Amino acid sequence: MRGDFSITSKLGLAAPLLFHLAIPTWATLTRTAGLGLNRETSWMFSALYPQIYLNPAYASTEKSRFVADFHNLAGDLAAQGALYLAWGKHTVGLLLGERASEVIWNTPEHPLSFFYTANTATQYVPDNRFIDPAHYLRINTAIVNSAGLALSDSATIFEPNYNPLTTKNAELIYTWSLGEFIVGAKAGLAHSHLQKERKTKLLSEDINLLKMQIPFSAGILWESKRPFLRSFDVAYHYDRYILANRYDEKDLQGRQVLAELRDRGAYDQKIQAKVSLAFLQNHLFHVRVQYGWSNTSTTARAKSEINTLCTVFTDCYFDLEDSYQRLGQQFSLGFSDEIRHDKNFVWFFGLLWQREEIHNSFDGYNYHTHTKREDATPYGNKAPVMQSFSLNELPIFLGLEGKIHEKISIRFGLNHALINRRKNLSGLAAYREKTISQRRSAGGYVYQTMEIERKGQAGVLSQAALGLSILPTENFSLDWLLNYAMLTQGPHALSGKMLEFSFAVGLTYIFADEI
Amino acid sequence: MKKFLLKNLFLLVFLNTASLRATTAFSDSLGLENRYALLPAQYPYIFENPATVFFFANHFIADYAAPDPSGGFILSQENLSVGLFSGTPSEGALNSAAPQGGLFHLAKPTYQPQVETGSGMTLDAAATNSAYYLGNLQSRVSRLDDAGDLPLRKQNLSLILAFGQSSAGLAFLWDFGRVSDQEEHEGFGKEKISLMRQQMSLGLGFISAPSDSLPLFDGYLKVKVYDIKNEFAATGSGGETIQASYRTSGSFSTESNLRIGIRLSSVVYSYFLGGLSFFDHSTTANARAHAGSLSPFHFQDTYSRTGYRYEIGFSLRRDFAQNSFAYLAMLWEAFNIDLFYDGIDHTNSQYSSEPYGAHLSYQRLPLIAGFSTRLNQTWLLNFSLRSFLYREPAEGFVFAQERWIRQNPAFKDREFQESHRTVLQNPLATQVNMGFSCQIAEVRFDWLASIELLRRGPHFISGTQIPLLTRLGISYNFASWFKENKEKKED
Repeated sequence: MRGDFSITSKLGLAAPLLFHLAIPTWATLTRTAGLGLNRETSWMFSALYPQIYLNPAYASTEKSRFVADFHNLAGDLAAQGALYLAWGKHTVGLLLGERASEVIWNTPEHPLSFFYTANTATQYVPDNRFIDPAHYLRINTAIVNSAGLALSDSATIFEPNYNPLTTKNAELIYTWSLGEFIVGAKAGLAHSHLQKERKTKLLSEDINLLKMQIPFSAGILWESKRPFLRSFDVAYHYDRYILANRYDEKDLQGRQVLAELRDRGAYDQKIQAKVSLAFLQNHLFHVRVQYGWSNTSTTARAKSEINTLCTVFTDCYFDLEDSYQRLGQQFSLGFSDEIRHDKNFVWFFGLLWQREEIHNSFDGYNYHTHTKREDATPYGNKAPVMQSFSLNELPIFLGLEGKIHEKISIRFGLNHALINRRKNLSGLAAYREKTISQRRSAGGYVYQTMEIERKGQAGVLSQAALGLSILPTENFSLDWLLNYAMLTQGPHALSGKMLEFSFAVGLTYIFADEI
Repeated sequence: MKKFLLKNLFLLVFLNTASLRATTAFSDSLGLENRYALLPAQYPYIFENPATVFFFANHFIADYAAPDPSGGFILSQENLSVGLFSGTPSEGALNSAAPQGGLFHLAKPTYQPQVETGSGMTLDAAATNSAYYLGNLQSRVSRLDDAGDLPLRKQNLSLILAFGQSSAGLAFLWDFGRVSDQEEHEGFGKEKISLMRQQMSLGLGFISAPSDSLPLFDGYLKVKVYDIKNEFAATGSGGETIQASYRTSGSFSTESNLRIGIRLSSVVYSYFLGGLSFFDHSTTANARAHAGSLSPFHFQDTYSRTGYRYEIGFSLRRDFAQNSFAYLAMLWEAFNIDLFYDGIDHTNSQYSSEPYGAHLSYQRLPLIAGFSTRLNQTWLLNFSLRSFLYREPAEGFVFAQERWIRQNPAFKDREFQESHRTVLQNPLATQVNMGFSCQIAEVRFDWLASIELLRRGPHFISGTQIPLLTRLGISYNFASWFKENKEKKED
């Protein structure tokens, strides 16, 4: 069945009862987006290429192929794609242009970001109560006054975008077919490093900014031939995140000024399983469950042994540490029904329940005086804070794809987030939030606790998508994620308005048999 | 007579017909821009290794990329091939102010700005200003060390002579490019500025097909000589004279490269390449004034830029039916550059108080995946993704050591001061290339298309102006013309 490369099957428009498209042969991110789906929800529809991100075993193919997308789906115009070479039971793919974790590296407002401190997310803290760790640690001031590097350099320790990590350098994927079973693995690297070092007669100094993400995933796909159970797959994902931003200065006497922000063994792990069942004629049911847990905790430290700083601080020497504990859990359970009454028309309906919990705890310690972080008020900028976030989402999905010509197909997708979704200005999901901050003495005695709880629910949030595919030849497909405003405003020749034809364009080429 | 090289070489070198007659537009659509050695039979590579001209016997090839066209022809008879081209792109170093050894690189590094450079002078300013070097002079002379003023972008002429026998060939390359400009002003005083840049290359290359399992073995050695002679001379009304110049100081580079192709199976080939080049891109700047009301001065800056570069590359190509092939390629390029900028005030016998010395080590790691396929009898499609694994600077990464400071300008001695910088920044967005070729009889058109046009749509839909193509290539195979003539004569 994997060898079926007729035009209809390439478009996912297999004949009735032929729900054999467990292995994605002919689709791009662009086509997936045209159905109102994305990487995480691509399992709802057969033969969508982004399923390789959910389980690398899906990358197995009998024929070599080239897949590329050129899009602005993530905000910036970018290209990504892969070349898969297949021989016998083996497939090897090289993926280029893949994005690194947006949440961890590039969204400081997200509670799981390495750079999230309560003050960076004022939308979650409407009373504007905040913690200011950089101020508390006095890192910038310390460095500037110790004749070290310029402020613009030292500030980069807490600056998420100075040494940006947006793109993975490369990823490799491998699959091996063992009869009905396919095993697959994917590994890659996202890396960014910036280091400056200077030695003079008076001091030596070194600023070192390192970000690294090492993704790994492995999965098994059982492509059953049985009429009821069509396929079953399980996969495990592990992402290791490394953050090591450090400024280190030593003078002639060996006295040190240190500023540091580093991870505490940060990771993100997920396990998932999906089953595809065909117990009703013309229907293919997919059920998927996923559980994930993450730890993106960090530690910030500032230390000075140089007494020239006495003019700046009341305490000449200091050794301070802030700890930011960020723990997350995520569970999702989804179902979709793919219905094919006609070889030229298929539609699907999907439902997903997602539950996410995040527990953050921020505190500080003074190693020089051996005291805990204290504040006279529970809302001061040195008060220890605990935050918990929870999110329930229940989006539903509806999409269809139809062939309107031998070489042309169109698709349409809708999704509605039904419950507990407040869209804020930054477009992030809003969590149900509980924040506890304490008035505490240096000895750890809690005088007073302040608790803020925020919960709410927005109305239904909807998104629509429109896609188009053309197959110029039997092996070659072009996909567009159309700009649906084109339907209301019309092309430039009619409306005079400047309007992009599409948000994304995708290409797939399946190589013919070997010579 | 032994059959012409085409038969012997091409059959052994297993070229897929989709890649024959490649123009620059074709090669660039495969993502090979400036790294043409990664696949055999790429037209722009004949200007690196002239022996690969055998792949394009009896062809007329032209490329158009705004603003100028370039091209020429290759005439092949028996064992001899002659290629004559004009307008091919010239060496970047001659127009470059980039730190990777550009002949106009004068920029101050991040940490230790040392030598005052840039700007220029006028007669009046020089008459009242006794400060150091060219750095304190004004606008007219600023043209002397401006990389972008009168760049040499194209070679005037490129000549290739190739000789070959059954499975081996030898070829010579000579190319030359020159630009010049001269301007004179005469009034109360007299000023004259003349600018000239030229470059000449001599290359020797070979190609062979030792066996079925080693179907390609080629290499070349090339020497380039650079010449910059930018001069300014002025005479004031009181007899004052000012002279300034920016010149090369024996600048040259050598390049060498070896490449081997291995046949892994009937459809899978791998290529390995290694290259080594050395360069000396040193220049000097002089400013001198004397006589009349001027305080005499004589300043000289020396810019020493020497280094070497090596590269190791690998590509894997797999052929498919329908004249299709896919390939993966990776190249590791390493530059090691020593810069030392110093200045001397001959009038007062003082050296620059802050000479600048640096050792720079740049690395680049481009990774390319692409394919070419024949859509039908007339049309070819090329597509590629190209990603640089790190992005800084100029799509690479850098390790830099910067040093030297002079405490007492009266002495030439200087002290070592050390800074290090390492930058391995996350890659830029992956680049995507798409190209089409149209074959009509013996003529082929290659387009490097605009992928953004495909996304946004043409002007009547989107209202935005995007060019249809960024590069056009035309090639014509006139071998059949010889064949017909020969048949007529025989008749």
